[in-house]
Amino acid sequence: MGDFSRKFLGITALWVVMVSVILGADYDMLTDLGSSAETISRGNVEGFNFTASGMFENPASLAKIENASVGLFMTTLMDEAAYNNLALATRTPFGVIGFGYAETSVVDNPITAQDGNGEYFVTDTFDYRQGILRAAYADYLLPNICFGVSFSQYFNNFGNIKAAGANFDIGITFDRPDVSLSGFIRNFSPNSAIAFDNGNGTKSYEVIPTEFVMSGKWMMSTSFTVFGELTSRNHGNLYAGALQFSPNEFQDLQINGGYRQFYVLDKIKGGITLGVSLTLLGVKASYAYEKIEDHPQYDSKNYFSVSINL
Amino acid sequence: MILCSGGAYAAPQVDKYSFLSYTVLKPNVGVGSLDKTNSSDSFYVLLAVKWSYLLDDQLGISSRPNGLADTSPVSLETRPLVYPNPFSLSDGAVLGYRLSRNADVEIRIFDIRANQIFKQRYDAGAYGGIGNTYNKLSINRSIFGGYDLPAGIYFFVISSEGRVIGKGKFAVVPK
Repeated sequence: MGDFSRKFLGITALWVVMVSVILGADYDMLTDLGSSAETISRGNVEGFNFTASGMFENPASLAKIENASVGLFMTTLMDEAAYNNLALATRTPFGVIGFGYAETSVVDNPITAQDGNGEYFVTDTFDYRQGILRAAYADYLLPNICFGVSFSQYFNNFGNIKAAGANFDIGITFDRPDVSLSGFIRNFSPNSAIAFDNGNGTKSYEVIPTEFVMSGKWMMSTSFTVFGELTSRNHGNLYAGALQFSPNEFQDLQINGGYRQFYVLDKIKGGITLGVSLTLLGVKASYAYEKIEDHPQYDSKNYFSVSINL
Repeated sequence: MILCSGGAYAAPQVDKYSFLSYTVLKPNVGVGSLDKTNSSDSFYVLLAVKWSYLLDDQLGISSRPNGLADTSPVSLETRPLVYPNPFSLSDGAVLGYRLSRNADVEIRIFDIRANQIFKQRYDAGAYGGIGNTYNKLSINRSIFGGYDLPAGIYFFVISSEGRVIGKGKFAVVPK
């Protein structure tokens, strides 16, 4: 075994050990919801979004942008939690670079106090914001293999409580005529933490979870494409799959149906996703639907995204 | 308690205890005895009894005969709030709300992606379902099965009799 191989194996083993000793509560990942309606409608199988929004998934997918791309995503859940992201990417002589911003916000959260009768009242309100600032780079390593990396700056803001942390993702894609594979590690640096400044001189921390995301896409015919994904996180596996239909006569229309699993507390749950994408004059507009379980007032999540590839 | 208010249709005097006789002020008739089996009188009987119970509830008097439930829609008399807010789960917080009357109540908590992470039913008259009292329910790690919630915003929904009667939100920060 050569010197390089020994060093590579040593570093890999050390990294695996570091990942396996994650301690403390996990930071809530904004990207768990999904970052584009098109991807969510396909069971949120990541790695096959070839617009600027792809930087929130596998950064290697950005390499397939020919010139420039813009992506926009939005949804509001329960009339309270607003999710938005904006991503821009452009090809340069050195590869594709991109910048993006994703945010969720909930406004008018009450700050409370107790009166003399032991009842509570509102003294003030604060806005909650959680965001990711991301910069990404991707390029072709070989004609059918792309590589990408992205840097993420995470932050939270609860009025006078502020939090920040950073990590990076690395990814690779591999393409054959009918099959594409994607693999990436989200938050590659293990045990990195978000530091919360509690506004009273104290600090607390949450671990940014590392995820391994492997996915595949098989074009069964010109009309039907199958997607599958395995995500490994905290020693548990999440599965997702989807079927995409594009009529032969009108390939600019995509009808998607999928299934995805996700964590609710420490339990794995699953749900169906549905959606449609339509490309007209270079603008792709996508909608995705997902059912909300158990809420007495709201029964669906509705996602919208728009992307332009120049 | 005997109801002593009225209007064009109602009746200052109702004997709720025996249910044998009712004295009701009927429009264009004046004070007179009503027959509860008479369909034309039953409306005034029910109206008078209902108003009587509403007044009793306001005064905190429990005089309702056994087996006769208050059917007025339950509501929250104050905005449901979590105190303190924000808070860390290890310190805990309390959800406070005041019901208009005893009622079966269901509390649910959702994360920011609309996933239900807590659901609990409280019976009418028991802890969490008491009317005219400021109900206080603890929010801490134990109600989530010992799980440490990530820092963020969470939403609670209070429902009763198939209706949402109140909702709100709270923020969890790490210890």
